[in-house]
This record gives sequence, C-alpha cells and structure tokens, in this order.
Amino acid sequence: MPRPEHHIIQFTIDGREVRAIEGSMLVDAAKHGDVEIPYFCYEPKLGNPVGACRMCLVEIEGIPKLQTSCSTPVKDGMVVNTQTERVRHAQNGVVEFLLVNHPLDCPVCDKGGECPLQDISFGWGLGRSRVIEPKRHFVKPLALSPLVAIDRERCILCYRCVRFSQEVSEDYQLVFADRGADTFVATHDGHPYVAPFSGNIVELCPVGALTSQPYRFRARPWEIEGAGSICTLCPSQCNVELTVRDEKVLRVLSREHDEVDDGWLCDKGRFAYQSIHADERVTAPLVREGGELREAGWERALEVAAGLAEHKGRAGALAGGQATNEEGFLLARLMREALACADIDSRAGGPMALGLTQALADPKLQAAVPDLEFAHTVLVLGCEPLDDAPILDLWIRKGVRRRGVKLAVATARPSALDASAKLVVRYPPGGEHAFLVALAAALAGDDQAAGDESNNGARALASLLTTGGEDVVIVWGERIGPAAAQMPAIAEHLRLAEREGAGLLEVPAGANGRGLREAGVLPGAGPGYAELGHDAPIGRDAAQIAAAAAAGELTALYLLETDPVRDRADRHLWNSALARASLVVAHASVLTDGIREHASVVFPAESYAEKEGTVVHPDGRVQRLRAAIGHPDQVRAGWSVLAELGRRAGHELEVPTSAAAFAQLVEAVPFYAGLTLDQLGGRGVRWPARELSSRSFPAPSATPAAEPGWVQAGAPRPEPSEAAGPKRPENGMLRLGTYRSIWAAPEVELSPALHFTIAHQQVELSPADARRLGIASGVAVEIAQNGRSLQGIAAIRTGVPDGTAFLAEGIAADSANVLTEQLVEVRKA
Amino acid sequence: MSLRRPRSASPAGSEGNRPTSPAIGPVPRFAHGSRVPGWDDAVDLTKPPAAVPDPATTPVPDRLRSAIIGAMVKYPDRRSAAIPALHAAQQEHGWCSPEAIEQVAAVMQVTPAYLTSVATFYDMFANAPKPRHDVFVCTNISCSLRGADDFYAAMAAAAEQDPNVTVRSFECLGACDLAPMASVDGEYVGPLETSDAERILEDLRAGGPVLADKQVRKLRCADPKAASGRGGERTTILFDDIDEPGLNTLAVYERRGGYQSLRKALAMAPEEALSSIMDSGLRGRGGAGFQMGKKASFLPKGDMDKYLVCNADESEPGTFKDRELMQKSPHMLLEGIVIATWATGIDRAFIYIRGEYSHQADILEAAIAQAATAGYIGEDILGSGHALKLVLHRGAGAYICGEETGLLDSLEGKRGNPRLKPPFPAIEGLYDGPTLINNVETLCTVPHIIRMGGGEYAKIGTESSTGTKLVSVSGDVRRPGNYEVVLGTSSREIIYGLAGGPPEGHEVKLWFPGGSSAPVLTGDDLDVAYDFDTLAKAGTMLGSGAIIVVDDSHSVLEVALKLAKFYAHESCGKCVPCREGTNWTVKMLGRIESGEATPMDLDIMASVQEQIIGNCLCVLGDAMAMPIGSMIEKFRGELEAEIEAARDRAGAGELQNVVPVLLDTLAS
Repeated sequence: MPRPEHHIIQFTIDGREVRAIEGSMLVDAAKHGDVEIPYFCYEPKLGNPVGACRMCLVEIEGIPKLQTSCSTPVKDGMVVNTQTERVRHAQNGVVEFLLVNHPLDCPVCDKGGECPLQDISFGWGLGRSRVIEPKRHFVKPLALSPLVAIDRERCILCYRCVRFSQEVSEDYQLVFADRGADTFVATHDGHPYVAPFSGNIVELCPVGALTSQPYRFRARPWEIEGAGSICTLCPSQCNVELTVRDEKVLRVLSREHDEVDDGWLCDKGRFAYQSIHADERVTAPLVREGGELREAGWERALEVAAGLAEHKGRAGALAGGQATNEEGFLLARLMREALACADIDSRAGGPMALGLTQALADPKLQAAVPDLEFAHTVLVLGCEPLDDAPILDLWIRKGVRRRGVKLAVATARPSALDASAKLVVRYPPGGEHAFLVALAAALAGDDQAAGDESNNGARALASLLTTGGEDVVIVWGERIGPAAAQMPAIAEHLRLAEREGAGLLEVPAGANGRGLREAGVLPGAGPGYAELGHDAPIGRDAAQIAAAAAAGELTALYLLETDPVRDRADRHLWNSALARASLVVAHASVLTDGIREHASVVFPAESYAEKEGTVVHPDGRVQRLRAAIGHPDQVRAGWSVLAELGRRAGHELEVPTSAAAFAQLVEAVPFYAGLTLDQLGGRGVRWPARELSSRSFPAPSATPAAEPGWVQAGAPRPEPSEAAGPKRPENGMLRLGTYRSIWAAPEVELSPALHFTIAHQQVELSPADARRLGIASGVAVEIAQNGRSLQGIAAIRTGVPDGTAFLAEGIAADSANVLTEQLVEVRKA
Repeated sequence: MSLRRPRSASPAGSEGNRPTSPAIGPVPRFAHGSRVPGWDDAVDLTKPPAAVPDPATTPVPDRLRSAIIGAMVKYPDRRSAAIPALHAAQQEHGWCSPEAIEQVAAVMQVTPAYLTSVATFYDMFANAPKPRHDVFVCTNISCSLRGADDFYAAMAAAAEQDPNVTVRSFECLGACDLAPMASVDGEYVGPLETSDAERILEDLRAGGPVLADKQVRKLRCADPKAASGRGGERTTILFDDIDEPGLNTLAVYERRGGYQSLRKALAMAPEEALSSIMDSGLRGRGGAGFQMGKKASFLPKGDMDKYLVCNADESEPGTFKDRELMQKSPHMLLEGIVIATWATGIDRAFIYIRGEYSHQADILEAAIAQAATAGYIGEDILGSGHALKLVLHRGAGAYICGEETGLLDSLEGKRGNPRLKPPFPAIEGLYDGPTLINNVETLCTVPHIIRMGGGEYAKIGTESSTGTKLVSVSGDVRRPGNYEVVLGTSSREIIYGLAGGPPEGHEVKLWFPGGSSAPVLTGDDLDVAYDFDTLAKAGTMLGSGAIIVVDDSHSVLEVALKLAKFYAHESCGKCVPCREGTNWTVKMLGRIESGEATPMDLDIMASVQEQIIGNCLCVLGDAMAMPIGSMIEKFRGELEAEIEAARDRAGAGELQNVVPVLLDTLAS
C-alpha cells in the first residue's frame, strides 16, 4: 500500500503565514506557526479524533461556529484565529466546566507538576471560578488493577484510556459505564483491567485519575531525571525513558519512536524495572565453594573464570538475548581467539547453513516495522507477537484497523490476532516444515505438492498473499526452526525483495537475537555473517554443545546472560551437561535453576538500565543503550569482564571502553561500516536502509541453503523420516505444542508489582479433548511422557486443534522443556 | 418535584453495600454517583480479566442464543445486534446481570465490557435486579403540567407494598396527548388520575390488559379535520383518514390508494423521483429542517454500500406525531422509504424506533412482513429491479439517539454518542457508508409528493416552508393532540383554535414552539406565523413541531428545572460543555429552589448557557442552554421574585454566605 503523499500548503494562523502538511490536523499544523492550542482528548496515536474535550476550539474564517482544531484538517488558504475574544471565552468556559467537578487536590495528587490540566488551567483558564456548588466526592483511590489505581473524582472523561483499550490494544476491557455526568471508567462486573498493555493508560491520562500503583508517591516531578535508553526485555526493543531518582529507576515511560514502538510499552517493559532493584538480584561476584555459591571478591571470581584457559578447544559458549552486540562480539572473540573454541551460539532455532542465514538477513528482504501498518497483506507465521514481541501485536492491529491491512495468521497455536485476521491457518505443532513446503508449492502453482487443501489451507493462504496486493510482510518466528529453509523460496515467489514496503521480519527468540548474530555469535559465521576462514572450524550449535558437554567432549561452558536449563529445550540434557562440565562461567543477575545448581562462578550482570552498548532491532535498526544509573554494589560492565578474561587468557582484546568495543564491531561488520555512536543517537540507524550497507552485505555463501538433518532446539526434534509432518496422536495421547508467555521471564518474577502475572504451567486443551478426558477448565492436570511428568492447570480454549495440548515453557517451575517427545498424556491430577 | 433517579440522587440511597473507609467515615456524595454498580468500588483483584468469553466454557440458554444469532444475521456488522441481544437477555434473565451479559458476549464474541458499556448507556436496561412489572411514569414538562408528579407520587406509594412492581419516572415517553401518562410493561396508558394507580396494580395482579379504557391504541386523533375525513376548509395530507379502522393493514391501506405512489415512482427514473422531492421543497420534519431533496443529493454516486435510516426515535419532549403515524398508518412510512431508496439508489434501510414505542414497533414489524409478502419490499420490487432490505431496529431509551449521528452509533451497536461532523452522514454515516437519515414524518410525506408532484406540493404553505406539518400540541391546552396544519398558519390559531387554549381563566405564559429544545416565546408572540423562517426570525425554531404551552398557573422555575434535569440526564457525557454545563445548571436551579441563590446567580447561569451554546459536539447542550437562556432573559423578574420567595421560605434571610467567591489566582 503506498504511503500517503504529503503536500505542503500555506495557511494563516493568528496573522502569520505558515506552511504545513495538507490534511494534518490544525492543532498540529499550528505548531509550525509557534502557536500552541490546548487539548486533552486529542492523541493521534489513538486514532481518529473524538472532539470530546472542546478545549481546542478555534475560529476559522468562513465558518460561523468555533471549530475543534483537533479534528479540522488544514487546507490551503485557511485563515485561523486562536487569540480572539470569542476563542478565549470558549476556552475559559471549558476550563471552568472541567473544574466544576475536578477536585483541587493537586498538593496530594501524584500528577501534580506534570499535569496537563494544571498547565492548561493556568495558561487558558480564567483564573477564577464561579462555581460554589459542592463538587462530587467519591471513595478514592480505588484499584483498577494490581498495577493501576483509579481516582474517579479527578477523571475528566477525556476518552483516552478507553480508546486505548478499545482501539489500540483492542482488549476492550476498559469502557465507559452510564452516561452524562454520571459516566465513569469501568470494567465488566468488577473484573480488574488486566491486559498486556494496560500500563499505557497511566501515561495517557491527562489528569491524576489513573496512576501507577508502583510509582504512586515515590517521587515528585522536580526530583527526578529522565534517562533515555532501550528496553531489552524482548525483541521489540522499545525506546524508553527511565525516571531516575537517587540512582534508582522508579518508572519507565515511552520515549516514543514512531518507527519502533509507536509510543507504547507493554506492561513487562513498563513495570519489570523493579527487578533492577530487587533484593534477589546478584550484585556481587559469586564463586562455588563446597557446593554452594558464595560471595567472593572480583579478583577471586576472575581467577576462577580465568581457569577457562585450561579448557582451550574444549569450551562452549552461549549468549542470551539481553547481551549487547559488544558483549556478544567480545565473547566470540574470547572464545575464538583466546580459547580456540568455535562452539558458540546465540540462536534458539538450531544450526543454520550460512547461505540461508545470509539470505534471510539480506537487506533487500528486510521489512521495517512501519511496513506492518502500510502493507497490503501481513502474514504472521509461527510466532505469537503478543508473547514474542508485544509491540508488533499493536502495530499489526493498527494496520488492520486503520489501513485495512489484510492479515493472515498461520500458526500451530491459536493467536491473539486470530480475531483480526482475514484468514487463519492452523498446522500441527512441529508441522511448520510440511506447511511451508506446501505453501511454497502453492505459491509456485504446484497444486499437487501443495497437498490436501482441506487439510492445510496452504492454497487459500497463497491466494490471499498473491492477490491481496504486492506489499506483503511476513512476520515469522525464529521458533519455526528448520522450516525457515523455505522462507527464501516463499520470498522469491512473492517478490518481497523487489518492493520497498514488502519483506520479512523475523522475531528472534532473544531480545538482541539479531544483533548477536550480526556480531558473530554463531557457530558457523563470524561478525557480519562472514564465512569462517579455512583454518577455523564450524562449531557446534546450542543443542550440540549440550550433547557434547553431557558426553564429556566439552569441559567448560560460558553462559553470557542465559540459563539454558530455563531457556532451552531438553532441560534434563542441559542439567547433565552443566553438571558434567568442570567449569561453568556465568554472567547473571538472577540465580535461576541452572545457574544456582551448576555455575562455578557468577559475575553480576548489568541490568539494561546500567548498560552502555548497542543492540539491533529485528528490523535491523542499530539502537544505543545508555546507562541511566550507576552500577549498584559490585556490578561491573560485561564488556570489561570479557576483556579482563581475555587478558588473563593471554589475549589482549584491546577494549578500554564500551565505545572501543563498538568501534571494533563496526570495523568487523562490513555492513556497519561508518556507523558511529553519535549517528545512532537517540533514534538508532536502520542499517538495511543504508545504501552503503546494502552494497557491503556479503554475497550468499556457497553452502547450500537448505541442509538436511536440521533440528529445532525450541521444540521436539522430528525424526528425519517425519520431516514431512509430525506424528499423529494415538492411544488417547495428545500432540505436544509449546508456547512462551510474555510473562515467562525472570525479571517478571523479581518485580513485586508483576507478581500477579507470573506464568504458571497452563495446559491449553481443545473443548473436545477436555470433554473426552473429563477435564474442566481450571482443574489441576498431570502431563506425562516416558516416565517424566509435570503439573499444570487446564485451560479449555476454543481454537486449539483437537488432539493437541499446548504447554508453557520458559517458566520457573513445571516448564515444558522437561518433555522431549512429540506425544504426551494429559490426565486429571 | 420528583427526582429522576432516587437511587443515585440521594446520598442515603447509595449507602447500601458500599464499603466505607474506617479512617474517614462515609464520604458525602453530593448527589453524584451512578445507577450502575461499580462506580464507587475497587475491582475484585481475585477475578480474572474479562476477556471475550470462550463459548466452550460459557453455557447459553438455547432460546437466548437463537434470539441473539437471529439478531446478528440482520446486520452487516454483528455488533449492531448488541441492543436487540441485550433486550433478549434482559427478558431471559429479568435484568442485564453480569451472567446475562457474559452469555451475550460469548455468542456475539465481544468482550463483556463492551456490552456493559452499551447496557448502562440506555435507560431501558436494568443494571440491577428488578421486579417483574415496570411502571414508567412520564414526568416531563407536558405531563407534569397536567399533574404527572402527583400521579407519580401516588403510583410510587401504591406500589411500595407490591414487590412485583417497580415505578420509575421516565422522560419523555412521547405521548403528551395522553398526559399524564405511564408505560405499564410497555403499554401506554393515560390520561391518568391518581386513582388509576390502584387500578394499574389490580390489573397487573389480574394479569389482564392494563387500564383497558385508557390505552393509547384506542386513542382517536385529536385533529377534528382528520377525524371527520375529507371536506372542510383545512388542507390535510398525512392525516387523511388517519382514524380509518384497519388502516395499519395492507388491505385497507391499498384500498385507499396505498402503494400507488410507489408504482408511479418506480415507473419514473430515480433521478426524476428525486427531482420531484427536490421540487417539493420538503424540509426535514425531525428538528433541523434541512431540505430532504438537498440532503439526498449530497449522497455520492457510485457503487458502494449506501444506507437509508429512518429516524423514528421520536424523543424530543412534547413530540408524539411520529407515534401516531407509525401506529395508524405504518404502510405510509414503508411506502415513503421504498420510494426514497429508489430515488437515491439505496438497497439497505433501517428504521430506528425508540425502544419505548414497542406497540408501534410491533405494528411496523407486521406491516414490513405484509409489505414483503406483497412484494413491496425485497428483491426486484414490483419488477423494477429495485431491491431493498429493511430492518426495524428498536432502541433502548436514550434521547440522544434522536440526534442523527448518535443514532448511527447506536444502530451500530454502540453507546449512542454523537459523532464529530464533518464528515456528515451523507458522506460517511452508517458503517462508514453514505447514509440518508430522515424523520418518519418526512418519509411519510414522500408518497404524497410523488402522488401530487413536487411542484404541486410546493404550492402548499409558504415559499420556504412548503407543505403541511403535524404539530403536537401539549401542556396547558384543552385539547392536546396532533394537528395537521399548513405551514404559515398563525400560532394562535393552532394553540387556541385547534387545541382550545389554556383552561378557563388562564392565559398563555410561555410556549415552546418546537419541542423543549426551542427557545421559549411568550403570550405576546402568539400571532407569529408557524413556519421555519418566521420562527427562526423570532429567535426560536420550529424544531420537531411540538408546541408545549405553559399557562400562568405554573412557575417558570418549575419548567426550567424540569427541562434542565431532563437534558442533564440525557446528556451522553461525551463533550465537556454539555456534560458539565447541564449538570451545573441543574445544581444552580436547585439552589434557587432551595432558597440558597441570589439574583447574581441568574447572571452566572445566563453566562454559562452562553458558554455552552455553539461549543458542544452536538446540539444537546444547546437544546438546554437555548431555552434556559431565553427563560432567564424573558422572565428575569419572575425568577428574581422566585429567588426572594424561596429564600423567605427557607428562612435564608439576608444575603450572606451565598455570594459566589471570586478567587483571583492570576494577579492582573
């Protein structure tokens, strides 16, 4: 879909000739003439204006009535007056009306000092009131959810919060009840407003009616500073402003990047800052002594870790999604250069042939986030944006709602986006490969190979993708694993590389998954997807590292901000791998199971609020993290620890600062060439959009794009003979599918405000299976397989295909990564 | 004077199960709150979020499910079924309980909150358990002028002993010709005397018809011309034979020439039919008085989904003409709709009828079925190739749904909040498609225009106000009712000549020429010609053509307070000046009544009305501010005297403590 073209027109405001974009709302256009028009309800992020608050009335020549400038598109030659007696009279009136019932409790209001109503009353009010009637008084504040408190006395019914719930996040839980002056913001029957994006309403509220429970009364606006950075809790990498008081992060606000987050945050990003200051956080180096991790000095910890030098050629390393590009880059250098080890990985999807990796990262194929809004068709493939990169869920909804984007969802598990989709295709868990083969065949017009339509829907999807318009964006998850081999063919059929607004957008499993890959944290590629030299062997991928360590072939493991026991498939294998390794070096801020049980030494990891460095957004935007607060207690920067370990292993990495590490990275990655931290600034640089980068992107490697014998680490391993499709359920067993909830993160567990969201094992069953098994929603169930079992709570969900059970992984207890086979038995506990 | 909603209005009434903070004790409410539970409570944090209910875990009674699905299939967007579905759920469960709402949500696949929001907007949905029988007593201006408040008190007192009956004051029910009247389980009865209260209860207990002799279905037209049929000196068009028995059936309607205009129109080209409507100069009969033909010509041409919506939400206080038309001559409306859609190339039409008019809605539904069977509605009408799908949509009690864009939102299954204009409905209306919205009377006139020819029709009335107009006369007159008059007739002729004027010994003090939203005129203005432009020149408007007469036995304050309370209750709450302005005005008028005001308050009140007028999202704010402003202007002396008298009554004595405090926060 072509993006709207902008025409510049000229209009007159308060006697000044001003140029503005035709059709932009007057209230925005006025800013070009340095004219500020006050408003409460206007917020373009929320969609079409509602014109409810009437604060922005202006006089337009030729129109008898005053007009709301928030809803009046500016036209060429328009003559607008905002300073006339009539306008002032109306503005005075609106302020006075608002204060008929708004309490003047500003001294005890959390919004005081950063309150639009205060500012507008001061700037546009009469300064006096004729109201002697008693104001309304309600009990306040009341809980609207565990995160948000509501003060209905202060509410001015501006529509912002309810519009957010209804038209942006589309959870439609927050509404107005009753009408007239009795209208109030409500939920259904006293249910709390709990939804993944609920915290945005606090930031939207122009008065102190909606306040953040964790932030209330923690600071006054004049005591705080705002520090811009990037949230690295998921791949969305939203731009945030951290509210800092006394070296403590007290709040997270959106730093509004209209090509990354559109000004929204999810509740994890907004409230999990509490984990930064949690008591449970590791803030000093720990060393295992007598079987227990004990606090030790840095020197002692570094000394233990320096023992890596004893394991040259026999060490493996994993980097977690929150590690920065610099950390990943230095880890790779440490492993390859100082320890002669090639076994390093950051991916969740298993090994990938270099040629395929390069093909999928080709700048021509990369869709940018805003393309989701302007595409003709968006396909969500093998991922759940709401869980995997929440902000993308909002982007997709925005496109569908406001631009008429046609949405197709092809996943194993029912998606939150199903209700917005034109077409929903379900394949069985583990059936990604077979489905994509069929889709590629259908796109090629090979009906024979496309298979049985009633069975897989590939042809319907192919026809939607080919007939709905050229600009197709495919949002696909790294979790589809080996099936990704089909993506280049699909992209080729749809000619995604040829169009500006079309492309692929991969949602990696880790927040900085893309950056780490580009920095060379891959078993088979150096920085910039460079082919490894002839003398450098191709290393093991994560699953192979586990197997090798468990078999004693690898004797040391380096875990950079990751705990494979929690994050990766096959918990038992990882437990034995870590147990068998004689040295386990970890950077961690939380002692999750694997670290607590097996680490020999734990370096306290920085939180994202403390880091300096860069990360790469899934769409290729290199973004910069800035330290908002100093390191608490004994925490040191990750890059400095890696540099020190290199030194102790006898290999000077020559990185005196984080910026030096970035400079080395830029040097090493051809398509970053010329990037500087200054250029990245506060908004980042999308490298695939740079002409220079596209030219310096490596030509596809000779390695064949698709290799047999692929394994997917995040899901059960298909037997080679079953590559065409997963097992059919038999003997009353159910196919096992897995999902990772947005809340399945250690940071959530460490944030008191988010305790109510902590993900537990919720077993999703189809209504028919539940009936057959005699299981009701909410009852405890046991899931068993090969003598292993775990506990969960049943959730009956229409849309789950019969014969399938979906289990949660990535959670602290009873995670599905205990299970390794395709079929499970579900029974009442 | 009775308050609209005792539950929310009195602090004592809301003490029920509200938890009070132990530290500070009960918080005084100052007459604020909501009839909807939850406004003063925290949410229950142990409950899960109320997402769209999973059908697999939400059982729904079969009858309710099929009613909801039956409603959903009638509309292009399933959400339009929200109001019909909630009506069905209320019938099934007795009230819109959380469980009922969740069941509807499960079938419609929307969140329960969506429906809660809709259900709490409309007066006809009960948000708390209620007794089986509803007695809605109209206490609006026209009814209260004729003793509705006494009847309401008597009814409420009588029903106190009966656990099966709930008595609510409900405004305005659109039957001022029966004033004072009530709607008993949907059956309109009146005029009522206090003694009827007991009879209503007895009839309810007996389970038979309620007040069989006073039902609206038996009411004959008040217009002597209409009642006597043809002849006489006055021109009547719409009301010819209005009381003919069985006119609501297709057979009788056809016998007296019904659907001949449709045949004639279908024989013309659509453009020809449209130009005939344009030539007639017919101005909208709903309130705004915009020319129908002109409005229709704004519809974009081309192949897109276009809609016609008939506004049958007759809710302007004092107006009851559409009720009589729909009840007695439903086919005239249908014929008008079919012709209008032919002329404008529309194939989908809706009649939005207010929920209170259940009897009229039943009649219309029957008429639609008959017309469809006879081939006047449906595919290929009378072989012309014209197709029309017509759906009757019942509202649920909200004045604002008479405003065209509020109506559209309501028809789309949302709260009836007016929309920003532009875009105007003719460009972007129902389901974002071009939409022609016309009042019942306007559309009823269309067949006659086709029959007579537009030019011929335009000869009736004045140059800019052509044709005849149904005028609903109510209040202090001897013969309240609907009268069909030629536009331009003298108002005195209507009020005195037709309606008989005020009772013996009384004079007209003030009158609303076009429903209660019109600025008032006084007894001195009776000779003004009754047409759009003359009334506009007189500083008021013809509006919906409803004359409410107030004689010298009633005080202006009483009327003003009734009026302000009505608009404050009916304000949708979307925009600030209307929501806060109406509510503040009620408080100020209340202060006058309780003896706490000073003459200075009249200045403040007048200035507040000025700040409302023209600054609101729709015209509801103006609808209160214009008449209130005109009353202050024209009856200032009386209001000042009222202030003094009330102060004396209250023993307030000398002016003190009530002078508005001017807080100068800006040193200037």
